[in-house]
Amino acid sequence: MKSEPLLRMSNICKNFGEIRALNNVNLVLNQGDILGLVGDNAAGKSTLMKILSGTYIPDKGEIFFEGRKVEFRFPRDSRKLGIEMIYQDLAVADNMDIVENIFLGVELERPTLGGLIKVIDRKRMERESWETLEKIRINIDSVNAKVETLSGGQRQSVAIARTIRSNAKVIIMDEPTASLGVSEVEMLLGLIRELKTKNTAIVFVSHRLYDVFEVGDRIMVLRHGECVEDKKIGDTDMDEIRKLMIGES
Amino acid sequence: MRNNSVILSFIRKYIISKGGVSVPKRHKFKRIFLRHSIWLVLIGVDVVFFLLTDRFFTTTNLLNIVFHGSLLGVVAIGESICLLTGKFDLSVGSIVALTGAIASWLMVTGQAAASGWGVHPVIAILIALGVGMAAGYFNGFFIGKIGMNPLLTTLATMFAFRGLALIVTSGQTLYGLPQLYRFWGGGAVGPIPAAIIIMGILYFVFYFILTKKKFGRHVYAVGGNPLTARECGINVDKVIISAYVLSGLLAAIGGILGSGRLNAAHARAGMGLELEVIAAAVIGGISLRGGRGSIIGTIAGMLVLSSINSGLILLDVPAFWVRFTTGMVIFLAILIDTIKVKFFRME
Repeated sequence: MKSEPLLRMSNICKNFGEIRALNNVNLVLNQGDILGLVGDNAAGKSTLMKILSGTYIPDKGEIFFEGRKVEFRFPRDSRKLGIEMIYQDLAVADNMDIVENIFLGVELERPTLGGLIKVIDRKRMERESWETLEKIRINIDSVNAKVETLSGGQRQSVAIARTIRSNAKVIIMDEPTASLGVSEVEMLLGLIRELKTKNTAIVFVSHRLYDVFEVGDRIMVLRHGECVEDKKIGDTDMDEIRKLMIGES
Repeated sequence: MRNNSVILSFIRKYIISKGGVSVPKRHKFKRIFLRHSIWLVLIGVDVVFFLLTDRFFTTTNLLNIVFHGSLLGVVAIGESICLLTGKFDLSVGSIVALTGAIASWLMVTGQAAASGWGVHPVIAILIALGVGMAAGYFNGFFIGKIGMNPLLTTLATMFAFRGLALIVTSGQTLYGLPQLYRFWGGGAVGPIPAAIIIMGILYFVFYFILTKKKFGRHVYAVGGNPLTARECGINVDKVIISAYVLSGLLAAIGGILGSGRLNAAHARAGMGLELEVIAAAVIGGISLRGGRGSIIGTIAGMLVLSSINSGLILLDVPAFWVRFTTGMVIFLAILIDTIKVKFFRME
């Protein structure tokens, strides 16, 4: 017996001039689902995710969230509903420190001067940053360090910390393991499993099929803008997926 | 050559913060020292002039330095905010002229270019501030929302706004401004010129905004990574427009101070000011890339430029050489900053 899925993207089409980036793509996500989205370069994975996060507007098709039709015109529209995206490159603001990055756009404030003016509550932000980073077991000595001094994996962790704090219902991870070391990848996969227990749905876009098969419930393959497979992980294997990605039969 | 690389690697090892690791206190001191080197430059410049002439280090002259730098200082706040968002405003000098001209035109009667209305100074000031904000909004809208190139757009408005000032003044100089208007630019509270007090208050207010208010932090975020800021839900367009409105507002305050001090308004006010304010901000540590620097550094930059100006005048250096020397000092300051970034990878 199937109830309404958490997220349903229906018949999504997107063109860039003459290029057909997405052609009638459907995506379904339930609470606690971990969906691996794979495909070769220019398959349309990023485009689909950018539509979901509100960066692009689809030319055709509809999105339903928690049963209701929604339209995203800005990234903040999807954020408001609880859909968060962790980007590969653009996740962090280099010139600001860890605390400010975790709270970028959602800064905490406290009243001052007898309640007349609101100022940034730096102390509370620092405290909560520490707590969040400890929760995901990141080893960073000082939350006051500027993000540009961190390694690729540490920067990714900061972006993840930001997303975790937001209590998102859907988290989209775009190549999250790309710049991570071995132990950091383990940490991330463990984190994904933990988020699943909290009923967070995750879309895991990745080139690394091994990681997808480690944590994924389902896997969706895109090729040339079309969905060529959508299966439970248990019903397939890496070879089959690889062939579907490059178009061998 | 080998010695140099040893020194460089030593400095790199002990001065660059190790990624995410908190740096021991003595290394932190060195970092802060290098980051705020502009204050050293200021002290250096002052020491040089102190040694060259005994007329430099007097209370009167030092006060003069700050007083004459106050127009530059005030307008530099607005320019700094624009720079911090990763843009710049070349039209500030023209807004200084335009706002001073409009305020004076409204207040003055019986002169060739006067309006004949004799508007009350307070109303004239409010209108001038409004004009400055409107000019800033014009810039900000086309640069922030429409996405026009900031350099070329503010270059165009630089000409346009100054043209408007010419129209308002009909190319004449308006003089004989009311006392209440002239007080802000030229008057004093006890021994301290009102302009210095106003500048001080403005720096305090905007330092507070840039460090403790959400909007201020968003300015830095937009300047450093506009795409990341947008993805985090920050309204990047609004931040940019606001930066330009503030730049226009502060330029208008500059226009009021300037015309008040001279007791005259003319269309040539503030010529070249835009480059001086950018220089003051950049040598004070605000990066042209955006998102880095503090307006406290801009104060130092302004003081350096004003000190050099004062020192050279006291040394009876011919007026033509003053401009050349100032240019070379600015060049050196930017060169030092570039070396800092390239070799020490510091901001």
